[in-house]
Amino acid sequence: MTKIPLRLYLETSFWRRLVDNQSPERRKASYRLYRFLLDRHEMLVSPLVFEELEHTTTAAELRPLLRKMKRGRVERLAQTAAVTQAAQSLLDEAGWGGGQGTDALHIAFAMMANVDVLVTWDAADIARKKTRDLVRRIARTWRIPFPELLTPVETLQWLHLSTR
Amino acid sequence: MMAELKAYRRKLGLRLAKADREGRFAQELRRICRSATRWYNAQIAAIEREDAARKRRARRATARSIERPPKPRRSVRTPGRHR
Repeated sequence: MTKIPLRLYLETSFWRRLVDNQSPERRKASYRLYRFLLDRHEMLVSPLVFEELEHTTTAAELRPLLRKMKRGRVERLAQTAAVTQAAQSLLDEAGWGGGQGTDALHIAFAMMANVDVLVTWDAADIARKKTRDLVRRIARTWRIPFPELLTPVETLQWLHLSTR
Repeated sequence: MMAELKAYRRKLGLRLAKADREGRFAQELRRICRSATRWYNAQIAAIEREDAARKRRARRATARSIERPPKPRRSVRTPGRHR
């Protein structure tokens, strides 16, 4: 029986952690997930991930990180009218301030691409109950599948894999 | 590291919020995405060029080692035998 590959949207913080020397535990968890996903499941990124990497990554970190993206054969999502509309609706419904517009965009890209999981280290704004409930509610209204918003550690648990 | 990302994300969010107030949210988002995609493509192209050059160098080195016969070993004179 052939396994159906999962679709995972990997947000910028996930990629940044792969080259992070400050938090070895988080780096290890990100690596574990990345290695599991390689050649098994679909990794997706949006142009927003590139935009954030371009402005927040040093030249020394960038090359190994981009090589990992290349090796992972990441699927690049396109910015469409549906994504723009979804992001604006999310912002309106959530009543988020301007500063969280980028979080809404990541979620909109993930929702419109029908991903199974949005993986992020941002537990303060994205991978939290309030945002999860909001995304579920909106997805039900739009009658589209909703992605799970999880940290890499939660994703490993969700996949029934060891987190250590 | 994450603080940097958060700060940039906030800056980008505010830029988009301003564009939204001015009724050009979609246009601004399209501009950001296009520029980011161009940057990513250029970076990947540079990596591919680097890899191709490395492969070429390795291939040349292999070809050179096959073409040239190994140098004959210099005989070492032992003092006792050639007296």
